[in-house]
Amino acid sequence: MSPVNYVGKSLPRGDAREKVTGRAVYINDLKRPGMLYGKILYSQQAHARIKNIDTTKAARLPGVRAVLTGEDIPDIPLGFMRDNRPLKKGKVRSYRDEIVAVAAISPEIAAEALELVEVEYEPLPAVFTPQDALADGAPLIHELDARNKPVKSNKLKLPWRLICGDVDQARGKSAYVAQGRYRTTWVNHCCLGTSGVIAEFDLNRNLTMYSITQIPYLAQNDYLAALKAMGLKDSQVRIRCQTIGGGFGSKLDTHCYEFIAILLANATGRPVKIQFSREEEFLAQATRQPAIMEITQGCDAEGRLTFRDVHMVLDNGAYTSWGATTPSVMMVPISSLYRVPNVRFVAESVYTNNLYSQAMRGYGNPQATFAVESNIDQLAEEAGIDPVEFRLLNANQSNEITPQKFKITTCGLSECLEKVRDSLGWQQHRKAKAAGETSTGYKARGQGVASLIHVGGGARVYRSDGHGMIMKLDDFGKLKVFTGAVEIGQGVDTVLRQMAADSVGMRIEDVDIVSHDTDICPWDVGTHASRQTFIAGNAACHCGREIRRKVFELAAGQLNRDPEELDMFDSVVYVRDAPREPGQRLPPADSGDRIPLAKLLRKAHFSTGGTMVMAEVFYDPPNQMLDREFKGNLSCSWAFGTTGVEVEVDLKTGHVEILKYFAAHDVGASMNPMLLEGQVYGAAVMGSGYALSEEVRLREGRMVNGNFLDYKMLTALDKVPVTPIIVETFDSAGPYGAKGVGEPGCVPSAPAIANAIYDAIGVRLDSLPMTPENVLAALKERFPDS
Amino acid sequence: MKNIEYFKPTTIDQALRVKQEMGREACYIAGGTDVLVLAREKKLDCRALISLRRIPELAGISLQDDVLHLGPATTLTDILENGEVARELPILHDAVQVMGSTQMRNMATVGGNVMTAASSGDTLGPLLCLDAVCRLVSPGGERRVPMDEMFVGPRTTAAEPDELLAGLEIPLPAAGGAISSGAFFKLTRRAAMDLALINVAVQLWVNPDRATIAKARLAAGVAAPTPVRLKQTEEELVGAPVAEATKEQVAIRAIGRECRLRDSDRCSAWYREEMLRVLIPRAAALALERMGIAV
Repeated sequence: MSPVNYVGKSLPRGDAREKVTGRAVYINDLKRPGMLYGKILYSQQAHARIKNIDTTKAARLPGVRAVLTGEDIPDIPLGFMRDNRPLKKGKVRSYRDEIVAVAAISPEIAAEALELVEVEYEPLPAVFTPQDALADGAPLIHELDARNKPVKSNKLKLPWRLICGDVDQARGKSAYVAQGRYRTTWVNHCCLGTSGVIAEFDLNRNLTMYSITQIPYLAQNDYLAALKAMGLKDSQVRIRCQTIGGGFGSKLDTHCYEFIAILLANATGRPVKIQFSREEEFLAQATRQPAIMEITQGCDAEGRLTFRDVHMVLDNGAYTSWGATTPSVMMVPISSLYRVPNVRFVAESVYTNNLYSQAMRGYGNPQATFAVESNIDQLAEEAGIDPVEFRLLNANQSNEITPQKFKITTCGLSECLEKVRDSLGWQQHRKAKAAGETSTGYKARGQGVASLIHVGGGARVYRSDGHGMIMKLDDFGKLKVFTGAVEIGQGVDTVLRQMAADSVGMRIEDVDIVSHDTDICPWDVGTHASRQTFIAGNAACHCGREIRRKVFELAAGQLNRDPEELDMFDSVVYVRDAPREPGQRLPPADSGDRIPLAKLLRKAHFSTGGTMVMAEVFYDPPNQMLDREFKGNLSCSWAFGTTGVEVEVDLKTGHVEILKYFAAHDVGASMNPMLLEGQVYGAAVMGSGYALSEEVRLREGRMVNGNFLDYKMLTALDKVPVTPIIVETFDSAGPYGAKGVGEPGCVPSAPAIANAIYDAIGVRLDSLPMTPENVLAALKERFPDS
Repeated sequence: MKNIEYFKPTTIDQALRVKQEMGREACYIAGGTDVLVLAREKKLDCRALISLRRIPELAGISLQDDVLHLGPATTLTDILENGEVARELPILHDAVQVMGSTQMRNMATVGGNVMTAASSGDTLGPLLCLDAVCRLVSPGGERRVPMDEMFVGPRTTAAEPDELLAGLEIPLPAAGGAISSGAFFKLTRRAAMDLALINVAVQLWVNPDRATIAKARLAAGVAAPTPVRLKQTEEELVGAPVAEATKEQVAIRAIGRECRLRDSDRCSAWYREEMLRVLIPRAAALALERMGIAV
């Protein structure tokens, strides 16, 4: 590999200028010739039979080109349990259910047409909590399963059960045991760009989707299945991703509105765009999975963890998306955060008439870590051990295998804990607290920490964790990198450019990324699991090596040397051992020991029997799918981190202010510190919002705060004073030593803040969000007399 | 929002004429930060909008004979940046500072806040405490309505349909050597872009002895269907030692007698009550602190 020139440097994002000047084309900006506008009518009932839908008036409205209901479309089962349909037929199961779709020549006419639709419902009893849904005689949300067999219960046939060692025996032998019950709620991804798509058929009935998906190649598969159901079995699908205004997991599934756009485009023969309003984004987009979590942990007399026992009930909502599979990642911290030999984790998902959930940054990990890390503080207190010392005592170490059979190759957890402890001034704070100096008047200060483990080297959640990449050198000496990775704001294009330039030995100005188009770019399983820096980065290293090999073969003839004698830097091929001026990496320009890449490639193209230089790689990492017992080395490397916060709680109002926020992350190696810190800042604010203020509020299934006024996403003024601390462990599996860091930052925020609140006021907040009202209520319950 | 006529008068007379012709079918719009929200929610019941942004005499801040004349179309940003407001009316400055965001303050006007008359309107408590007067003009002439008589019901003012808010007059609290200051607190779930869960405004005048209260004004928002002044408490405080205004007991009494708190999706009544108990004393203490009086 060539010398490192760009990797590790804080280079600005390649798309920064386009985005800040408004030049970047988001789906909101895009129009196609002859395009129609689609709009969706959602249910007005939580659970009801659809007796009749009268669309006559809507269809007659001038400018309307198509009106569709569930009765007008073929059966297109959606979601991994195949329990959802683009437009619902027969009955609705939640307020977010799509029942009618209209395409018209303007969005206003489409909206007016929806107002003319008359729907008659026959309301059914509804259930809004898992407990009610599991009660005897509860109404069934789905009467039939995916195979049309009658079901008996609202419980999903998805038994999550991980058993390592013997929890019951370990419990009996534990010196200290702590128990807790924790609860998290629905939150929205709040992507600044709302959902949207344009579906367009050409005259050969091939479909192009102008899209914002994170999973273009899996989405292609879903759309092809829909086309087949529509009788278009020979149609092809091309996906062209636009500039994406935030992903965070919200685009990891294909959604009803995308299929509705396809159906409307097919019905009208025109391109159809569906663009969500913010209100619609709140109403119809699936959220983070809420969870009710019971946890018990124990330790021996010295404080070493003996067991961890977790039981969860998940409110699945009315349909399944990836939310129902988040226990697969909840297992990661439950089995493997700190060394704990005996683990039991059981989770069940239950249908209700609420919103359904999907992937969201951390994929279940923030929920599980809230329970685990809050409960670790409880246990440390039981054992009379300082919470940081307790964690250090139990911290994972490099070269160990966890009970779930994860191979921890490198682990910077202890270093993260120590750095956060020292940055916070943990010992000074302890002393000040003992001296009664941390509370003054009606304000009390507290400190808390929480750690995380997450996949850092891809995640084999599908049979493949693969990534295809093609590199092409042109005769101007420019390198095009064709990748299946999707830029969703995380900065993958910039980091790939750095790694590609260094792996070949080129100037970064000569390297461009070509992506976001399934017709042009090779296959990739998706932009998820914090995997692209690791996976696409490894692909870039492999592919770059192949380009170098081919270039050196070409140059060998030109420079009269063996390929092994050559090297490349700054887009110039040179003889490695050639004489050169002091301090110069390259031999003198007139020496005959060097040749610019552009010149070399022109000679290769413009000569008889010429050649071109391209390379391709399909990188699929050596990680494992979880087996039947949910065990196996899911990821090639594991990311760790610790967040430490100091808060000040107003004892009279319950308001929590974050005074200090240190986020230490074992990232393997930092590819671009500026972008990395950007990920940490963003994740810290997202995690703090999850902890303190964000909550989709449902009353009997109906959302009461579906807008940015009432949904309290934190603002720039709600300053979370984040200080990122980068810990480098240089994992040999990663490109240049890197691990993924896209999701981890938001994982430990809530428990760190909850632990700090406990330290400040002696009250443990066990439900998110920890709003001032909830904090004050908890204070009053704990100290009724003050 | 389609098929809405848009008028752009440049004088008050032109605006009044359009309004007179169209009656309830026309609606005034200044910054649009309330009107456009209603329109988007399809709650705006009119077919014409009369913009007040091009009428110069409606905007601006000037001081004459110890009275601050505040044009209703003055933006919140202009109020925030006005030195006299910051110096003489900290109670109003406090309120404007925590309204919306920079972009919204650049659009929103103080007159809009008054005429929307939401119980949560952040300038309303301060204007009540400052004994501001509204100048309402109509084709029939002009009348002056004390702020205290403006808020007659939920989102309803004393202005007749043909009347336009043409000016706000605020007598300077410290006129004639009086010792006075005020403070405003707003309780929100985040630091910006938020509506008050409750808000509290307190303006105090103290006697030359600096130990007893000469006059008090207390107001609360989202504590009742309209912004309310806590008049009984104001009267009881006259002549009392300054520390009395900062006592929780005083706040508790005021809440019991003069507020009507309710549960909503945004906040529960018990928490609102609890916060009034906390914020009334804190606002009073800050007002005293601003006069250099420690309690």
